[in-house]
Parts: sequence; C-alpha cells; structure tokens
Amino acid sequence: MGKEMESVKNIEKLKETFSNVTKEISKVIVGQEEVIEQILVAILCDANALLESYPGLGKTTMVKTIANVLDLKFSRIQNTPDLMPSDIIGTYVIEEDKGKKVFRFQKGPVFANVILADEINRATPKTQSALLEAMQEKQVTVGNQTFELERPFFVLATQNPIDMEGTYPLPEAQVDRFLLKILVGYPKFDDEMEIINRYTKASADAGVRVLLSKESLTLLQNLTRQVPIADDIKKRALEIVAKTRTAKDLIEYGASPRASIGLILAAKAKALLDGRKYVSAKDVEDMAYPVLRHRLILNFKAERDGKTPDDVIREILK
Amino acid sequence: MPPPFIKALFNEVKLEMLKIALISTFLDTIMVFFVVYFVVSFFNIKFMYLLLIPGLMAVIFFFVSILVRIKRLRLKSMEDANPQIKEMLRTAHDNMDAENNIMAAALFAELKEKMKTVSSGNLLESKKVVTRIISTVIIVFLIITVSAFNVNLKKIDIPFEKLRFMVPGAGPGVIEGNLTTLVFNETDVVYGDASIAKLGNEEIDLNMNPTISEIDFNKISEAEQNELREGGVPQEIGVTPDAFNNQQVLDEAEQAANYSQRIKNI
Repeated sequence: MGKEMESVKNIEKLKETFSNVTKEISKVIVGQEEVIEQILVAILCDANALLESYPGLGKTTMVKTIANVLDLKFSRIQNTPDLMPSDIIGTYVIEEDKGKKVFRFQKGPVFANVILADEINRATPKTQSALLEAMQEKQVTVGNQTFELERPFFVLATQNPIDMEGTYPLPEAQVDRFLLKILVGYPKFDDEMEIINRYTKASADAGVRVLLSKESLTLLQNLTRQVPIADDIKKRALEIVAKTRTAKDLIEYGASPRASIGLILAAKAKALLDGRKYVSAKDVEDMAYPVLRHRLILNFKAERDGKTPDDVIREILK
Repeated sequence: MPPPFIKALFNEVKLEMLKIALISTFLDTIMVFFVVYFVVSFFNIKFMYLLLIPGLMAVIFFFVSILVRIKRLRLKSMEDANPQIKEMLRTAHDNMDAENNIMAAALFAELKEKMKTVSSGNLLESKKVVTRIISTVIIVFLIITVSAFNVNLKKIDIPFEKLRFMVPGAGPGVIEGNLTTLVFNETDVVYGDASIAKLGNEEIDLNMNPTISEIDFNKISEAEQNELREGGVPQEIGVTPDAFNNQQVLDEAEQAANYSQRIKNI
C-alpha cells in the first residue's frame, strides 16, 4: 500500500516532467509544439510514426533533440533507390581471429533506439519491407540468426509530399503499421524570426540536458497502457473508426481495427502527457487526425471536391 | 479490488443525489398542493374536503415523483452538474475493478481530493428551484387574497352526483332516499310508529344565513336573550312533579328520549 501511494505521488510529478522535456526540446526547436507532442505520444505508445513535411523544416534536428533529451541512441538512414536491406540491418563481415577467418555480424543503423528513416518512399520495396519488419517485430533476422532490437525502439519515417518522381509509395498495408502520421507545417512568422535569430549566431549549439532515462521511458510506456478510460469514451473512439467504414460518400476504404487500438492508445498517451490520469473525449478527438489520416482512402468524389483526409475526419467527428 | 474509499465515495454521491431528489420532489409537492387547493376552492365543497383532496393529490404526486426521480438517478446527473469532474468520475466508475493499476489508483486518490471541493448543491438547478418557490408564493398569495379580502367567488357545484356528499350540509348523517326502507328494531321496546319518521315527498327548504360577511351593521338591533341548547336533540328530559306526576307519563317521556337518541345514531 505504501509503495502504491509512493507511485501515485510520483504520477503527480509526471506533468512537470513532460513539461520540462518539452521546454528542453524547445531550446533547439522553435514552435512545432503539436508535432513534438505527437512524436512523444508515439514514443509513449512504443509505436512508430510517419512524418510528412516539405524539406528544411527541421525534422532531423527535432528527432535528434528528442532522442538526446530522452537519452536514446539516435541513428539516421537516408533512403535512396540503391539502398539495400543489409545497409539498414547489417551484414556478416569476414574477420581474422587468431589466424582464422570468421564471420562476424556488423550491426546496421537499425540497432538504435530512435531511427530516423528519411524519405522512406525513395527506398525500394525490398528495403522498405526490411525496415518495416524491424518496426513491427522489433527484431531482425540475418541468415539463420535473429537479433533482438534494443528497447525502446522507435522508427520515425519521413516522406516528402512533393517531388514524387522516382519514389516507391508505401503500400497501404505497410502504412497501417505506423501509429501516427504527423504533418509538419511551416512555422509561424514569429517562430521563423526566432529560428533565424537562433541559428545565424556564431554558436547555435543549445546543449540539451538528459531528462529521462531509458528505464524511465520504459516505465512510462507501461503506465501509458494503464491509463484508465471510461466505457463511453471507448465507444466514442470505436464509433469514429467505424464511421470511416460507413461514410461511403467520402471514403473508399476505412480504417482497420488496428486503428481503433491505436486511437485508444494514442489518447491514453496524450492524457499522460497532459498529466491526467484518465482519457478525455477531447484526447480521442485530437488524436483521431494523426491516427486516421493515413489509413483512409478517399473516394473519387471527395478527391474531386478537393477534400483532404483531415477534412473528412473533421466531418466524421461532427 | 477497488479501494474501499472509492466505493464509499460513490455511495456518498448516490446519497447526495437522493437528498437532492427528495428536496426537489418536496418543493414540487408543495406547489402541487397549493395549486390543487386553489382550484378546488372554486367548488362548493366542505372545508374538510378542501384540505383532503389537495393533500391526497400531493401525497400521490410525492410518491410517484420520487419513484420516477429515483429511477432516473444516474451518475450522469452528478456529472452534468459538475462538468469539471465529469470524465474523471465516469472513468473512475467504469474502472472500479481495475486491479494492480497504478494509474487507476492515482485517479481514485485525485478524485477523492476533488470530491471535497465539489458541491452536490450544483445538482439543485437554482433556476428551477427559484421558479418553483416564486410560483408557490404567487399561489399562496392568491389564496390569501381571496380569503382575506372576502372575494365572493361564485362556487361551482360539483357536477358528479356521486360526489354530492362533499357539498356543505350534506354530511354523512343525512340519509337519502325513502325512510320506509329503514328497518326498525322489532323488540319489546317500542320506538314508535315508523310512519311518524317518514318525510314523504315533502321537500325541506333550508335557508342558512347570514354569514359573517353578510352582516349589515345598520340593521343590528338590541341583542336578544336566547337560550342555547347543545345538540338538536335533548339529552335529558326534565319534568316537574306538578305537571308529570303520573309514572306512565314519565316512562313514555324516557322512551321518547331513547327513541330520539337512537334515531340520531342511525
């Protein structure tokens, strides 16, 4: 009982902890609070996210900063059409040991805690599937040997909405494996002013502090799943997902049950980030956009009317 | 198992809601009583029924209303009245059986603290309460005005024959119909001839007046000395030895007194 009360008291401090994490990240990243929050949601859910933005909006810096603040090993993979699965996973190399030549496994960049897979749609389907398998199974298999990936493991893949020539768009089944699709927009005028002020000085290194350990992060991931949710809010989440399947006037294909799980989980993480011990209906509605936007295939009529998935989700939420 | 305090908390919430339901129903009942009283006062009925009918209707209303309210008693009422804890309360209620869940335990602890600051008074919809009180005051004011200023209301006769007994003067002692249907005790005691008690088809026209309000002070004359007797029937017959020295006369007088007493009790 005493231990439990201690844990309860520690939970009271969570809001402050997350607030400090956000403050620390903001030393490097100006604005983009919503994007940072959604990345943290994905990390708390022990899931992966797809980041979509135009080039030069600070995606790599943002993910690297988050990894530093959370004391996570960061690795970046720049996807190109000639990138091979072994370039990501690793490969066996021949080494000499006591006069004998032996095979030793050389780990690839996937052996990290946070992977930034830049422009994932530029890699070939073969390479994409190798990465997506690592994302899903949290392990990689080379030859007849399986290697467990270090936990926490989080892939943040980016794709560029323009310049689609020579790309291999991710199949729907693989897109579905990303918990969130996060849209990074252009910064506001004042934020951009701050960015140029900050990064045109002699030294732009802000030097962020580590605020959470890997162990703490794993504990927080467990806590996220324990956030209680009311039955009617669960129903509301399911209704939202179900509507994507029945709104045939706008949507060709709706979201899968994986989306329902993701929506509840993301709402729980959002509640935890806000320092709440329960999920509110607003959490579900807020998370419906990043959870569902990449899982909907709009029909011809909706596309002809110039509707985006976010517009359709907005209509579903009404 | 949920911590005992959380169950106690929800029981307390239910009790608070029950109290509020009782208060609301009581206010409604008072209003119903006065409204019915006001309506019934337009009818020409005895004062006893003037109180009995609204009282009865108020009691029926109270029980029906409280039953309906108890059936509708849901956690939702408390949530609606306190939106700041709505989702917290609902989540705690739905997760009462969550085991080994630190987050749920933290939620229960927070809810316990929050409930100290939450007022169940919010459940009483102040607008409705004020409306009820004002309506009741208006009705009471109307009733008082009508009686205090002696507003001469034209009383409506009860249209239903079966409810005639409520009309003033038609007390339970009045026997309607033919008196010949009465069965007299055919014992040795002679109560007299039944035909004597018959009224036949003759109508008795009784004019009861004046009431206090109809007194004309200009017409008041000197007070007359009147002897007052209790009851309509003499309880005892007094005779003087000069007038009734015959024992037979005395016996007959006693029989007549007994007869009158029995007639009165029928």
